[in-house]
Amino acid sequence: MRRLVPPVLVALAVAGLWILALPAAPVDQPIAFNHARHAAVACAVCHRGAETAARAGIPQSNVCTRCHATAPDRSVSARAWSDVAAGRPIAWRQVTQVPEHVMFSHRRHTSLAQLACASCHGDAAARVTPFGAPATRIAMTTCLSCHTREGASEDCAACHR
Amino acid sequence: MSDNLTRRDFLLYGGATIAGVTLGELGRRTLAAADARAAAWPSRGVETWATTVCRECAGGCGVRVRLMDGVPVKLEGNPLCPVARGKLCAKGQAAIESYYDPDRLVGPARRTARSGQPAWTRLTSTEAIALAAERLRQAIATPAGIVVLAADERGPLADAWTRFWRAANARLAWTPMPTAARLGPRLEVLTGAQGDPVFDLERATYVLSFGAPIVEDWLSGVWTQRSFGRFRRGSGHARGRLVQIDSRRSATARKADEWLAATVEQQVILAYGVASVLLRENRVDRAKLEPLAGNFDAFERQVTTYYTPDNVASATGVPVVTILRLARELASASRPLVAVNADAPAALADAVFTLDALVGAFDRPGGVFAKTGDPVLDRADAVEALRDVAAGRLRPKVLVFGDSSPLRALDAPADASAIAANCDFVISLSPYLDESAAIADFLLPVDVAIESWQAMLPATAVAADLVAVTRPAVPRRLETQDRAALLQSLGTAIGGSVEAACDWRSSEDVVGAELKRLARAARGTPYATTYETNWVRQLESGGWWASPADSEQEFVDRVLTVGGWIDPWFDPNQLTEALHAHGGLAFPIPESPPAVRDVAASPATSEEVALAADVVPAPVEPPRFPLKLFAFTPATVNPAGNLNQPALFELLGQPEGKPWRLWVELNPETAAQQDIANGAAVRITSAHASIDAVAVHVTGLPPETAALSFVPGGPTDGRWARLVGPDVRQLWGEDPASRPCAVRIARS
Amino acid sequence: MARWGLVIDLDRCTGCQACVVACKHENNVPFSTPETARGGRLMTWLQLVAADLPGRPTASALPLMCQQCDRPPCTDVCPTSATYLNPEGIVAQIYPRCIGCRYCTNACPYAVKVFNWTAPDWPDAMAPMRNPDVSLRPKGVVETCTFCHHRLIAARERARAAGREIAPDDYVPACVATCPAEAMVFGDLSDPHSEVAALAGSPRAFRWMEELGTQPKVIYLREGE
Repeated sequence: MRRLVPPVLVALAVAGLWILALPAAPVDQPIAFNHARHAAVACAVCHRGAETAARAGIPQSNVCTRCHATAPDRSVSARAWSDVAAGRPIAWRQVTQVPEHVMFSHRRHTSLAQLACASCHGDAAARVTPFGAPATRIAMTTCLSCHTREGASEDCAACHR
Repeated sequence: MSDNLTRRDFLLYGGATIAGVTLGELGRRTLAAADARAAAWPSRGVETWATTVCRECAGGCGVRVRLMDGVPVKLEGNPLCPVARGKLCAKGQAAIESYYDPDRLVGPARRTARSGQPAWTRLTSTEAIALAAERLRQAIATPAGIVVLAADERGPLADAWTRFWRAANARLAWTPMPTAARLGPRLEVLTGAQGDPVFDLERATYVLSFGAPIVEDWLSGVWTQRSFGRFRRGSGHARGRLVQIDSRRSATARKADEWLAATVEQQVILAYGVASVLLRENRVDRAKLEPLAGNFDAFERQVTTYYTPDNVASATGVPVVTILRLARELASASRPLVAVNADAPAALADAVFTLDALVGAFDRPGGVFAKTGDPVLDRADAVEALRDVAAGRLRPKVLVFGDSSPLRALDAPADASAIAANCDFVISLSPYLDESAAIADFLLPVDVAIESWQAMLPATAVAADLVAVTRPAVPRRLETQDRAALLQSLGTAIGGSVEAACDWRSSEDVVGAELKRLARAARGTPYATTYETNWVRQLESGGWWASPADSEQEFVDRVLTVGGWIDPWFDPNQLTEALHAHGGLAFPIPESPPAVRDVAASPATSEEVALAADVVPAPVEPPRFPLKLFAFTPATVNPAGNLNQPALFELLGQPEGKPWRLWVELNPETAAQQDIANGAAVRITSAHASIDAVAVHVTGLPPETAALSFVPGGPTDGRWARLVGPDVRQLWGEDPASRPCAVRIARS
Repeated sequence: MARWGLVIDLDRCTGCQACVVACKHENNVPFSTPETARGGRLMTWLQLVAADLPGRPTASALPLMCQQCDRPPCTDVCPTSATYLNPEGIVAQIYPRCIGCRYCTNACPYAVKVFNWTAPDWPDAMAPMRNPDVSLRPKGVVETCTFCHHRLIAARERARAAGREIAPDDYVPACVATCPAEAMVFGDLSDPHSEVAALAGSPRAFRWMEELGTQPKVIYLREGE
């Protein structure tokens, strides 16, 4: 029995290193949504509020069924589609988040400052799989470099709440 | 080492590495998923606003509820509401804590053990209604078999409540709320005008207040506060001067330019003393008074004979020069107003309205008007009924609490368990874990204000007819019931005349009927800005009425959206008209000089009376209870709604820096004799009980008196309400007549 | 650049404390218990204090919040620049930078900077009433009144979305919005036409502890004639 101790320790060490060394894993989304095939539709049509409110919405089944009468294609399983068709909530996982001490408003950045969605969310139009992880890493320096360049407020309290 | 690496070891460690990687990857994904799931502090959602009415007092202020993603987060005043004009008081701001109260009753329940640990069994609403109806049906045949107590309010929903219980042969009583309606009967005695007095504080230039809590919650809290601000520093007139005559240094006394300490009895004497000076020095406008004089001559003769400044000074302890000065200030002010507390005894209210008549304040800007046409309140006092029950004079089969208001009065029995003992069955409709729930056998919690349909008449403050009407601002949070719907279900289960009395299915029906009535009345307007309201007033006084809506439905929608309806047209001559119709003023005629009372020497308790009779002359040793204790309820205490609001408890004892504490006010010299420092912990002992409080020095308080704050609430109340205590009513036991109570105060 | 200021007319103020409750709810300031209050750890950004003012027979009730000094003693001592004077004159507090050394709470002569001795705690049922515009401050940081700065940001965004300049009524802190006696006036002190600027020049105007040279932007108007 004692002979098993070293290999178990090795396994645990490898597991720990794996978690620490690699970036956060992408999460699984409930539906294999293909942004590229929807690129003709403006972002704000599905992500309501992206241009008019602080928060951009994540679409629920009612948004899908406005256009889709039947299951789109093989990429959406029959079971997943039955949930959507029945209007049950879709368990999307929000992958892009700002820290809780930051007051971020989409409207301020999109419709007022004319920033493209892609500058923070990456080129969604080119993606064929749903986002499992943030497309770009946004740190305070990322915000600040743009604020400096564009002459936006660099006052701490303008973003920190 | 390589020698020792066997094939077996290689496989073992290789396998371990692969297992490690698999485990790590699994862990990584689990962590990422958990991260994404973690309820991060949300970024701002969609903001919407809904209209409702504040029900923390009878003021009926309009409220806007700020909803984030449909969830209420903050209350603000409704700028269109003519009572509040966009403002809220501390209680109104804190009302959202009632909706979210973590100790709110979750649904109907039945008590399964009265003694020992209280135990409750949840019921479905169907079971609950069947059970309650059964009890009520059995009690209907007995006279006074059902006793129903609730806070006094006016409006269609309150009328439905009354109609229902009248049909059930119940004995109804209401907890009086401190509104202008309570002063109406006194104004009627003097003038013959049937209606509520309207005090035009905003335009007054000098206010002599007899205990009126002007900066606390006088008549209609928010309206009064705004009027006070404008009275003090309004445009178009000099700074208003306020003289407060009060038994303690209330918040109003603190704000006043001058505070005179006087008990309520002394205030009456002082009022007539001022009247007598006005008459003796000929400072009344006799030409104006003459046509409405009534029994003025008899009054003048008696008052000037009996209430000479010397008599008044010796009865009240207020120096003669002060009495003369007050009278002269009052007479020389351009728009003087004499104010009185809503719950003043009849003698004081009569004296105050007499002074208002003498200074020509009736039907004058900055004076007193009458608002006739509101329902006359001839209502039994719930606190009295409760004392009857506690004393066993009244033994109802079923006692129904619409809310806990009667249990919160200073005069209410301190021992609530005696109430339950004298009733077969107690039903509480209060949505909160409060005093009535503590003694109830049966809980039928109803919706709280922001979950309800509302139609109420705000307490009279604005010179206009108002109805505050709104729909629910948020869906109900718990398994509570709409009050009118609950009554209707009970009515159906009871049957007979009770069922027939319910011509509604829910509050929505009652409110809807009221809105239809308003639409058909073809006057007034939905709540509007001051400018628009004034415009409607102009039109109406000119005989025009411009309909604010094209259809009845549009009118109903507009009223519900803005939160109420107002008819701003007001006849400012109602008192004069009533006086002409009723043969002039009917002054109360004093029949004897004021009794000179030596407060310190009067024996304080019956016990000591007996003692004094036995041992004559009185021994030199000081009395056991040398101080007279007045209790008062701070303005932040909710008279009828939820007590369990932590933000309001933090306001107690401020600005003295004693949040959450009961405090007792003492004259610094009295305190020094006992070596009680400002802020020291003290013990107050009476013949009945002793309680702990914190001392606050108040210069100017009569040395033989003390004033103690009272906050209702008990050990079975909500989590915050149970932390403030104890119940100071223990000090005077079951006899409210023994107030002010004789006590001694010592350091603890 | 605006210089935000607040005028409190003590002659109008009734001491009703509506502002205290409004502030508490607006800014997610946690509730206290009798124990925490007795221990001097009452969390509040705005409270009434008894102040002996000249010419008054008894102590007046003074609504006291961060005085938003133009020469704030707290920012001078902050080792991490977590608290600083922003260009519009608001003394801001950046919570992630705050290390909880409490130098600022000691330096503030008004004692209006409060330290989080515990993690903020609401009963579960009450959690939804917290304002999502304002963060929850963790244990170990200092917090204080910001003139409801989040309301300024929101007001500015609303005004820009409507294509206009920010108007005086767009931005008022929660305390001012609810004041029933209309004793509080808020606005831009640098705008000579604003009501606050006019009132700040009143002969009744004074600043609390102005002899310390902190130059507050909260201006009180004396009670009395």
